[in-house]
Amino acid sequence: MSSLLYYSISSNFSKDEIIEIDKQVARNRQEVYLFLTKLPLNGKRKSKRLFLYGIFLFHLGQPLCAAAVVMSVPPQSIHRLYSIEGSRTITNTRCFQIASILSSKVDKIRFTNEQIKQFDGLTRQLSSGFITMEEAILQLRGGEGLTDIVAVIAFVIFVNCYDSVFGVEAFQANPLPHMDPMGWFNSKYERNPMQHTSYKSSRFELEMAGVTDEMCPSPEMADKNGFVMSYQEAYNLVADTYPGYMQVDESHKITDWQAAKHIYHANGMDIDPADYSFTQQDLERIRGESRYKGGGLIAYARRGYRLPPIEMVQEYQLRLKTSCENAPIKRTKVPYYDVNGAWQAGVFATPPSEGSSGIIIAFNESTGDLMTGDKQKKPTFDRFKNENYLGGKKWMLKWSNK
Amino acid sequence: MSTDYNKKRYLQLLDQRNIGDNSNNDELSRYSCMLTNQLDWEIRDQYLSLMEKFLNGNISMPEFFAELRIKTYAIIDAVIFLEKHRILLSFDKKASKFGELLEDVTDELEGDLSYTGDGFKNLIQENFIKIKKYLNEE
Repeated sequence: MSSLLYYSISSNFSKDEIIEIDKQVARNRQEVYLFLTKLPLNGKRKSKRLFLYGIFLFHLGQPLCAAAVVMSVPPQSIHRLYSIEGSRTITNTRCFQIASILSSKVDKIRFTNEQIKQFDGLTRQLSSGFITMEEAILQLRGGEGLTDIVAVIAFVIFVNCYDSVFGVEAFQANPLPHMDPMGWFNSKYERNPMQHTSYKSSRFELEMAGVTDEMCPSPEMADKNGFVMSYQEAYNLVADTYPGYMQVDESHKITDWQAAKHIYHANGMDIDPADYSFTQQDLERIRGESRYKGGGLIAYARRGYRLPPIEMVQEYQLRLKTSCENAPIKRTKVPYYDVNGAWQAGVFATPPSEGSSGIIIAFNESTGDLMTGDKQKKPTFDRFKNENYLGGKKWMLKWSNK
Repeated sequence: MSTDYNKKRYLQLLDQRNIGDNSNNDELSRYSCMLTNQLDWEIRDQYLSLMEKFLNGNISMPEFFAELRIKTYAIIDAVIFLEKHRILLSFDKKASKFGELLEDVTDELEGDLSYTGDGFKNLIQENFIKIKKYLNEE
């Protein structure tokens, strides 16, 4: 990906040598230009490319003087032989012009003040939500508001430098926020208050979300247990990653948090975890592991696992909501039993039919939030339908004193 | 084979459902449950092997649940497929009881996993022994 795109010119070069270098630079620019302009926006790898662009833009938002490329020619003062306007018609190699001489450092590419303003403006618009990532990319691709060649160069610099600085793992599809500049650009980690402001302060609801004091060991214990972050850090991370909810009806909602906590059911709603670079086993870790105390998202995050991306969670929410809206069976006050006790659930159920399985989606009646949502085996579905309870039979026998 | 299993009747009920007649849904449900249990029975060795691997510490709890859940989904999908294509199996007389015993394990796919100590392992061990014992019965 390394290309000679800008160059230093020694005063010792002959005119022919300068022209030869200039032609080579023009060819390189053209190749990179074509590479970028041919990036499909609707292709299968769109999201990955968007991510690359996002990280690229993130770094553009950092002090721009840090971007530099060491060139192979001897250190001399920097000349730009290719004008900005020329870059828009890059195939015309005869459009050479002598640009103004920058009194810049030796062998460094420097952005002009105008280019820096352009980048800063774009990144500010992006981070403040005035434009979407797609619009930003369109500007990059179309040259509106930004000069193409500048974007190309910065992108190349970024790609050249990124692996050595951050490591390949930084490009993972679902990074943690500290590895996810695109997420920050998209305001993914900005705390959007829930519409019901008591949500996070309700101890009962926190407990329902799997947050208990038992999962908040002292720092010494955290190290011993292999936790990579504190309880508070994990809580903030989860709360910031899953800030919203999807309303199902006036009484029921599916918070991002609860949907993420139950995302191991997503496969049952015809969502392939592999589409989000997860395995079923990865998702099952959210429920807990033998060697760790406590389950749920907080404990999962503390163990350093990758959080399911909000897009995956939203897809699960949407499928659940659609199923709820079409469910022919709706019941309230259905007992839901598990190892901790009994809960009252509002249930939306779709019986199996020709070509489709039975689905049960349950909501906690106290919080109105999701408890579970998945397709079910026929005996399990019939147990709900005929005996009107959810959860394990042994827990039903235990907690109902039968 | 179950005494009250009648393939012709099962087919008839499936056809009824297909044209929107749900008047005999309860009866059809019983057949569908039998088919589910039969499929579980067909892969009983896999269930036992899975539990054994977990008990021996060869797989973790997430691995155990991932495999169990995938099997469960596969059974659900298989029932749908077989009924849709009117492919009906013969039933083993031990399948229904096996299905009941297995439920105590598959029920764990739902709900919280707030087990302490070896609580979950003990639960699996208890059910493993029960199922083994049942399979060894005449």
